[in-house]
Amino acid sequence: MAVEGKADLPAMTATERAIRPRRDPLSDRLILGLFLAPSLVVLLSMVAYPFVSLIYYSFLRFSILRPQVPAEAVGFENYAFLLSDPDLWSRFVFTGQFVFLSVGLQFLLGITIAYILQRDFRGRDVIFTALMLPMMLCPIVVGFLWRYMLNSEWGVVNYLLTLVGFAKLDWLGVTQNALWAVVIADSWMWTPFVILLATAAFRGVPKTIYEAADIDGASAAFRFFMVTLPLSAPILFIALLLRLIDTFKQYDLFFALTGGGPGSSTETVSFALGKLAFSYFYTGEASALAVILLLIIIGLSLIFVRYLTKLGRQRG
Amino acid sequence: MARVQIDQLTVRFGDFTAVDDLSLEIEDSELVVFLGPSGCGKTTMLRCIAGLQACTAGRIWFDHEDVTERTSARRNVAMVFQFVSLYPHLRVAANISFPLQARGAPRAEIEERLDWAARIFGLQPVLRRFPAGLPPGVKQKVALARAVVRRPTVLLLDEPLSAIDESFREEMRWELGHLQRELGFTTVYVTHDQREAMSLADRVVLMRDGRIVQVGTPSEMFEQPADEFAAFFIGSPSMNFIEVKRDPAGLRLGGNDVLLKLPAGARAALGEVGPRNLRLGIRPQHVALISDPADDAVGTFDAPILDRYAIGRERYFDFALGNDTLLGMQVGPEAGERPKVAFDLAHAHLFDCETGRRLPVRLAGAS
Amino acid sequence: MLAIAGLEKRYRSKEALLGIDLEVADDEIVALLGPTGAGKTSTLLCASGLERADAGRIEIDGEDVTGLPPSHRDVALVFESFNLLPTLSAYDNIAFGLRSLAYREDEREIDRRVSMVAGTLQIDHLLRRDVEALSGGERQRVAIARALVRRPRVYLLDEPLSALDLKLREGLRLELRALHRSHPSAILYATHDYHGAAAIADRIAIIDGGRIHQIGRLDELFADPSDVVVGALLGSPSMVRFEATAQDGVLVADDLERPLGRLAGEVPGRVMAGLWPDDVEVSAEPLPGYRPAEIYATDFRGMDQAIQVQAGSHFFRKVVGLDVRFRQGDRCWFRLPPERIFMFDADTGTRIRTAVSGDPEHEG
Repeated sequence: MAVEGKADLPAMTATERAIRPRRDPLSDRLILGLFLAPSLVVLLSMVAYPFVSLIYYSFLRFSILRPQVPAEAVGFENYAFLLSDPDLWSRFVFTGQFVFLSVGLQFLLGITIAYILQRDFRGRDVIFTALMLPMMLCPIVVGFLWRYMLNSEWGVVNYLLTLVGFAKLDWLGVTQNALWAVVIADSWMWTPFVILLATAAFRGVPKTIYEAADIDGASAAFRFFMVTLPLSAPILFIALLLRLIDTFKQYDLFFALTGGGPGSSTETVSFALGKLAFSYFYTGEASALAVILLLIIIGLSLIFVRYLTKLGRQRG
Repeated sequence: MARVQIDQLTVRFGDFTAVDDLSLEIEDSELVVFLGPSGCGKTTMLRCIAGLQACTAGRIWFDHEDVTERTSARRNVAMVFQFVSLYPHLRVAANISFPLQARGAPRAEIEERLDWAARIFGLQPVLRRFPAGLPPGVKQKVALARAVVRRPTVLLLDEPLSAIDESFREEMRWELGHLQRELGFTTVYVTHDQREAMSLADRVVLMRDGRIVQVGTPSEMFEQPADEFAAFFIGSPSMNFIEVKRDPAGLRLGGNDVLLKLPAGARAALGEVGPRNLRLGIRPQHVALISDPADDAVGTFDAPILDRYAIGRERYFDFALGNDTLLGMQVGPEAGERPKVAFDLAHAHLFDCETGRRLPVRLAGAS
Repeated sequence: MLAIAGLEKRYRSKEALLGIDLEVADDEIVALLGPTGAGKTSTLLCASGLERADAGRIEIDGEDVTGLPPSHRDVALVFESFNLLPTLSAYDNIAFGLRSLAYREDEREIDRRVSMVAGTLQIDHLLRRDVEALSGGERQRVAIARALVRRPRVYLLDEPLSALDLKLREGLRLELRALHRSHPSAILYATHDYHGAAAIADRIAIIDGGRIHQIGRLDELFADPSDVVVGALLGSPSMVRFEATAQDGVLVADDLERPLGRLAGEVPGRVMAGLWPDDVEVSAEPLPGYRPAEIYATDFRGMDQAIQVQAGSHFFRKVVGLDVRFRQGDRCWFRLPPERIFMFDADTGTRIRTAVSGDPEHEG
């Protein structure tokens, strides 16, 4: 590279700069505080306050319907009562079954569909968008929608069953069937979520890793199970955690489809909590149950987060 | 190991031709380096050999088998990428043995080959670790181990040293050179760094805009560049180029001022060259300062010396010719008071300005 | 003129600077040469004020600027990754400093200066382009222009050429030298690249592990290295090193048959014996007093070749001419002239200035 014959920079000496006193570092912190303040106020009033109240109420026995009856401080009595109630435990079991079946189905279907949709083909994008629709509906609407579809007399589902030679099923009148009914409705609504996240996870695998796997001679199946899935694990785990928490809290579908019935055989813990708080108005007990649920969810999340961090550290 | 034959390979992306009718034969165990600036088609070429890129036309043979239609998995090639592509979720040992597991090799064989690969690359201490924490040099060694563990037919390397820190790059380069000769895999190596090419290659394939500019051993590329592009691209510091005009006594350099006297043999050879514009190319290592040459000495002339400086034990000087500043290297004893610039005519080249090709004119002809 | 004294800096998990003392005169380029992690960037960051040092003083032109923020120090830093503002054109990037509160100039003056600097660096045709559209070499020059245009008292360059390919790097080195010739200023140039440092610097400061081991001109460092680190960083290839033991007044390298030489004084047991590659003699034929070895690898460099030689468990590299074309696996013979051997303490790396001499019985 030829160097120009010395093009002159102006012959200046460094000009004198007045040395100004140092800026007060505190002003930076003050500005920081001011920017954070509004969010902080909202958080405190809308989250922290109700949260603390909840815990407070769980140690009292009272009902908000009858404020004139003074609240009694009863220590852990609410908790003891709840935890020794066999009905509550059977509801936990039922909830567990529901969560296991529903989340399991969503993941199986979701990952499979996401895998199939990886390859580009005509109309893929349209299909993908269409698949997202159920997720966008209001849960209560989905509930009623399925309730009508699953009606034993004139519901669409039973109609289709008779077309292929099966007998009509009593979906909502038999407990076992009702459980599956809600599982199907819940999965219908939320499998798209898993498809979405699985797709994102699959796309996140760098192309060169696939190329390396191809060169290494991996078959499509080997590649999927040994490379794609493990590398998608972090996102899939987050999806799993989110679905678990959400399914655990599922209320609308049960309300619309089964109303907790037949009898009270399809009452989940969430459903029971709803009844306690807003049908019977045992505010103290309801608060205690809410706290128990919260602890379970926190516990679940901690396990997941711990595992995710470990993965993160391993894989850099 | 195998001979690789590339036959009229062409790769087109729409209107753009990345590789243009390229033919080449690579010998068994040879290390061939595809060298060129970015966009010249070398990586596309490599990916075709790997099976990752489909060719628009042409065929590729490994020994006597036509592999053009085969997928990567069925070609038994191994590739090391520029940006390391180790499996982040597997430990080093699992990474290395992945290709064997993918092909369903028996446990015992996997253990044995893993052991062997780990030993050659010195990876025993890191076998249980994940790629994430390892320095880039070590990661590339793991990638290499994974590549050789199943004795590939051809080993393909795509700028494997680019992502490595400067300071470690030289080390890795030495190791790579040593290992390739030890192991003897037919190797195709792609780089834009001519230093790497010169250092490692049995033969260099210089590419530009999808075509081969020159194929030769590093010596040939250095001493006998096919054209100006090759002459400039290879060698560091770069070759000096000067516009010249013919003169009865030799050549006029840089805008007519300076006369470079040539021996009679060279002047005669010059006479044979038809009417063209010429450019002289000479490497700084062949430009020296000498004191008191004889007045009619060939290859010397007066030029203003702009600067003299040393880089380590090497001494350089800048001098002016017309509007250009050129570089020379002082190899002999320090020149005296009024030194002249001396060209080693045996290593001076003449290029045709229009085509850029080097002319077969020897400027150091006998007097 | 930049003066750094006793600079210390600790980051959460590690100590980066353990007491740096350095002076750069007004018309001098000092290279801060050291491996990655040695503390080069930390030193520059503290000198510029972007990081606050835990201890030590920084003086610019005699004024103590240690407590001052960067905008008050009148220094310019050219970052390793250029740090150009991606949303602005080249012109605006260069003019940025001149439009800031601290150093504001009026627009006509800005235009004049930017044009001049752009001319010197040959980027005038690029001024109106977005920096995103520029190549590495062009961005490099914009980053340098940005520093130049402010005419600060001190320039701090952090590996400014490392992102560029070899051809570009050579060219820019020449330009930097030319610029410095025409406009002398205090420049501190941090790099891990020996060639870069040697090409530009008037003096070189060897830094490793947060400390400066030696400062001086290149020939001074070659003649009298004070630490094994100096030997490891200078030269291409760098110093040949053998682990050795001093026994009974004789220096013996691990794994080599005859001793390296006689010792003129007392020396601690374990040492590192070092020689500059140019001093090691290599031959393709067995000559008297030479030791046998094997060519481990070769490196053709155009005008010469570099060879890596293996003798027992020792390796060394050397540049030799092309009269003999060595091949990997060839046998060769080498000699280590005792009077050219430098000794360093095996633990601390410090130079031991005891002479080593040839023993007629145990030559070389």
